[in-house]
Amino acid sequence: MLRPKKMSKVSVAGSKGVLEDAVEVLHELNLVHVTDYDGSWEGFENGNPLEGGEEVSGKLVQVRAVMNTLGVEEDDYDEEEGTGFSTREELYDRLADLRERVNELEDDRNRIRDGLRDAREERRTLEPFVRLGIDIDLLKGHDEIELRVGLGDAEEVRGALEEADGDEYEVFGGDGVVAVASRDIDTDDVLVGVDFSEIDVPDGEGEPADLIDEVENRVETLEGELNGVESRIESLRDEHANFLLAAEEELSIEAQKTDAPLRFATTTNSFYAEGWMPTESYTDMVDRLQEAVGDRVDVRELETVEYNDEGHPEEHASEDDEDEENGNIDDPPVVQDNPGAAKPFEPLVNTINRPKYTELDPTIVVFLTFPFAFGFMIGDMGYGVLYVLMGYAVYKAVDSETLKALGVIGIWSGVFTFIFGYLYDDIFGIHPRGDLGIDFLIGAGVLSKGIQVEQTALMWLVASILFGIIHLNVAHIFGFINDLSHSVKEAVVENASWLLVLNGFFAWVFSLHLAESKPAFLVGEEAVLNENPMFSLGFTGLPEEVGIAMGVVAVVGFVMVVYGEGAIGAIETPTNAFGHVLSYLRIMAVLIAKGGMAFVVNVLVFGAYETEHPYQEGDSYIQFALTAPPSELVSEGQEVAFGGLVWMGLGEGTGVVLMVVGLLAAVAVFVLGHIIVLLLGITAAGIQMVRLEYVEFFGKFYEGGGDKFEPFGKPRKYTKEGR
Amino acid sequence: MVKNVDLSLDTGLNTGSSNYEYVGARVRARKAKLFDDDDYRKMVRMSPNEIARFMEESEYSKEINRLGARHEGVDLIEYALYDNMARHFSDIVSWSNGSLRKTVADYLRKYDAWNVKTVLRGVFTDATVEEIHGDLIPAGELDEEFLDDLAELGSVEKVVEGLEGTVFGEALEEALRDFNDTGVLLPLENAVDRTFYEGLVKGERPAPESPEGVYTNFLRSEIDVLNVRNALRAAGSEQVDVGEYFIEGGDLFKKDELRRLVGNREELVNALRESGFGDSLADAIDALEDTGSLVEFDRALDKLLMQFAGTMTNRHPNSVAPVISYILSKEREVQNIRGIARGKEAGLSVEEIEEEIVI
Amino acid sequence: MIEAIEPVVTQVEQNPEYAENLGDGIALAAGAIAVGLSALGAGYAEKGIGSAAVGAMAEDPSTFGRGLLLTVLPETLVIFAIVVFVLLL
Repeated sequence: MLRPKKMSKVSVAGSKGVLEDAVEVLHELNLVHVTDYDGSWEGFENGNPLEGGEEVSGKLVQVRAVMNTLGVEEDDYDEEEGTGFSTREELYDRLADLRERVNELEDDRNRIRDGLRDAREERRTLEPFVRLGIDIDLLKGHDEIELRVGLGDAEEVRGALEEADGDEYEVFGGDGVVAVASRDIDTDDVLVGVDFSEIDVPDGEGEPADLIDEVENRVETLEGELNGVESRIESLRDEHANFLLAAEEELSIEAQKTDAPLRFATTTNSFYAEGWMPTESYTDMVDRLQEAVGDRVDVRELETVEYNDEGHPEEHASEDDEDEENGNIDDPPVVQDNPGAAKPFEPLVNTINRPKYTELDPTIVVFLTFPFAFGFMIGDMGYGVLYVLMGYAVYKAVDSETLKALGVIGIWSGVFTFIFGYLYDDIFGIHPRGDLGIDFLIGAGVLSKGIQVEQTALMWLVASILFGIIHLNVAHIFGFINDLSHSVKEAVVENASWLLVLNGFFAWVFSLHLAESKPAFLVGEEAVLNENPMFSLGFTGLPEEVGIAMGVVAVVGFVMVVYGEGAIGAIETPTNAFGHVLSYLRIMAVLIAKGGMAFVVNVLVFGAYETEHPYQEGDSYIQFALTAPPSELVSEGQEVAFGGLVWMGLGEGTGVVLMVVGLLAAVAVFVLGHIIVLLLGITAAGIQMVRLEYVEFFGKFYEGGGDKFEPFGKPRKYTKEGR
Repeated sequence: MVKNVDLSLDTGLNTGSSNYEYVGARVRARKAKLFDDDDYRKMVRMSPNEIARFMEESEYSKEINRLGARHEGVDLIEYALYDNMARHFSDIVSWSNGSLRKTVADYLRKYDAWNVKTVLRGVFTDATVEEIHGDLIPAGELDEEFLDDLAELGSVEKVVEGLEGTVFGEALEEALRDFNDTGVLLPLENAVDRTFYEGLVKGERPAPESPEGVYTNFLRSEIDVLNVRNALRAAGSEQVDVGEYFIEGGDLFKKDELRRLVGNREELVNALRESGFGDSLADAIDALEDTGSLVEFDRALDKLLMQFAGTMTNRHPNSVAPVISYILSKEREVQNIRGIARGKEAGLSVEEIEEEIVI
Repeated sequence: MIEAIEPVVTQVEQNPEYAENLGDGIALAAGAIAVGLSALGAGYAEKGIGSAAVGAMAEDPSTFGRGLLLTVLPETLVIFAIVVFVLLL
């Protein structure tokens, strides 16, 4: 659960004569993560590709190129049809034929597209001349008269020429297109600063309108042709999708095999391959390899790697620091081993980095905290159901494993949102029990979000801090266990020391020592942990002596930190032990912010009135008006907070129009408002909690950087073995 | 003219402030995806078709898939390499804003300078159009078709004429007289380099820690490398006064110094050993003295610039440094793969090909 | 300037309740400014990190988590400011 699957390093060796068979079997087994030989041993070279690799690769490139041109996708495979080839020759023949046809079609398509682009460009340049309405040939080829055409304002151009020296000019056009004919006038000079940008006169002659008609025709013809080609490409795709997908699979598997010796160490007569596999499947592999090639290859389990990295001392000795930083070349790849319910949270962890083989996998903690905290922050039965549905929709709609996992995370978060919603007595921000008196099962409404109740809000503030302290304790304990494999000393001064600082300091905070200068809600009779509107725990603070003792513990921890990490440790202490705990206050902040937003939506829709505050004497409390207009419910001397769109619509004597408008507005605000809160809930609660996991929690212990387990081989989907 | 990489500044966001963080993060991610030791070790043992397939399964998949139904083997590889490089470089320009965009665009003209020089040299030495084409690096603005057309013109004068209107036109026209007088190509090549570099480093030196300063410092190193290359090539030659064609702006040697050294190759090599490049180039200088071959030394200089760019990236992440580092490494990768594919085609051994690779 | 605050000063001298309210008000204003400024600082810091993170993500979507992590780091500044604000109340 907290550890990945145990891995073994295995070797497969034999004479070159059995190389091909061994590759064949290893590929089919799909169990061994083959590691690349790095060429470092005397007398051993990397192998060369198997015979036939060149041809297979060449054809594979062609298959993929044709698939790319035709736009073949995995979905295009039709189970009911065959693959269209049974031997390699058939495959190649059909490919050669198809490739030729595809290239022709693509040539056609490119030709048409070029033509179309030219024609459209031509149309664009002609368009102003249609507006000008002067024959193209009249605008060109004058020796003495200078003719310029441009986009601009005719009046302005005329005015500019008026002021210029010489008066032999004429200005044609309007409607944004201007032609200027002039003699002996420096038009460059005159037209500076005037609204006139010159355009070139296109080739051709005759009326622009005729010319543009011709171009239009051309565009239309070409568009028709293009459609024709496109549909021929499409029918080629439908016809050959099965063949191409199967051929791609067949050839890429073959290419993987022919490539394999590149990763092996070889001499003139023998080969040696190394790789990793889960220890549990080792015997299985040996049996199957024996069955296929008998004694001709030598398979060995070189070592089983323990989780602490002291397990392989000979490699460790030669490993310098650089190697370690470059991602532990000799660490096995990682196969995470979490229970089914927690599995979907693996991608959330791996987004930061895959855990190293030698460290604890924190997935289970993320599984236990993320949906819980999310549910706590949003806490609403209505939203909870919607999140579950959204998560399920994502799960159903996508193919990618990672996105599916995201869907499941959504479902889990929705479930907890519902549970907390039940405890808060909230459904879309309304309290069925509190507001409507619908008293369902026990436990409903034992908690409250504290939007209007200060003591409750402060209780959640304290709860957020306590949650943070527990979360960070787990983090440091994880770090302690991880470091224990390096050295006990490191584990103590770099992890246990932080546990002392963190717990010592906060135990002092929650103690009666110097109680009078601490905020009243923390310790003393008024402490929220002693009594709050929801429950009373009777905790007024740790005894003064305990507080002082724990303060000393914190100081001891601090000394250890400085000893372990030097000045940096001293600088980091306020952030790590204090700041990171306060960072958890965002949980309470999101709770109140989201609750507040839903509250506002409901006030707008249903209206609300002031009543006496149930807990805080002298304060007023805003109550939704769910059963009757707020003006009817409000008691003497109190005010109506807002009339409510519903009641405005239903009010007496409002008339049909106002009623409809009022009710429509009420529905619109209700639906839109809650959709916004729902979606902001994901970004607020989701992102904030992810941040707490990634920064505050992971930051304390998590290194990551494990390699993905990628066994040599590829399961077949479309084709069968043995061609 | 169809542009290979659009370096014009009038499209897109060339206003506003430079977005070093964004562009830096993207190019660094792309640099991380370049082929590493392991990949090269496999590729040198593959046949051209297998290399093409290997590329299809990496960053080059788009290009191989587009071209794979029409071409194969070494041709496919080369076309894909260059298309891919042009695409990546265009991407960088299109991501960049503000002065960063201008810097990147200016720097990429380096490849135009290279290509123009290649065409000039090819025409001068009566190389075939195919040979010239093979040495082009279409990663700048001038596209291959235009350059091929130039190569077909057959005479240096016509090529210079054909370049009229490009950034190099004016300087080349001026240098043409010197070329006609001396009969060596150096004045023209120099005019191209000068246009490229002196335009970039002229004026006041910006503060060395500012993004502009980081960039000019790197350009100065490039100028040094260029001067060293030219000096080594021309060392001992009587035909032309190399000092005349020294490019200003470098930090390593001053004009007079180089003019003095260029007369004697031995002295030049010794001076190089004493210079700021001495430590990093020690092995290469030894090899140069032993064999006298410039090929290996050139490669060492390429590697040196890549190292400079790498160090610069670490020290100044928010500057154009990551971009330059990526551009150099990408170009190197393209040259490496091309070298492997051609070596394979020519039947070279694995060891011979491995020697060509610079990482 | 002095004349402008004179009525306030008179009020404060004569009316202790007014003085107390005024003090509370100024404390609130100070807190609000503190929160606002720290949010501004966090925002500025996040601008650079965020654009780098988006850049890295555009190239490799799997860097999403790390990008998010780094982007939100400065935001703790605001939480601290809120704590200061709560203490001021």
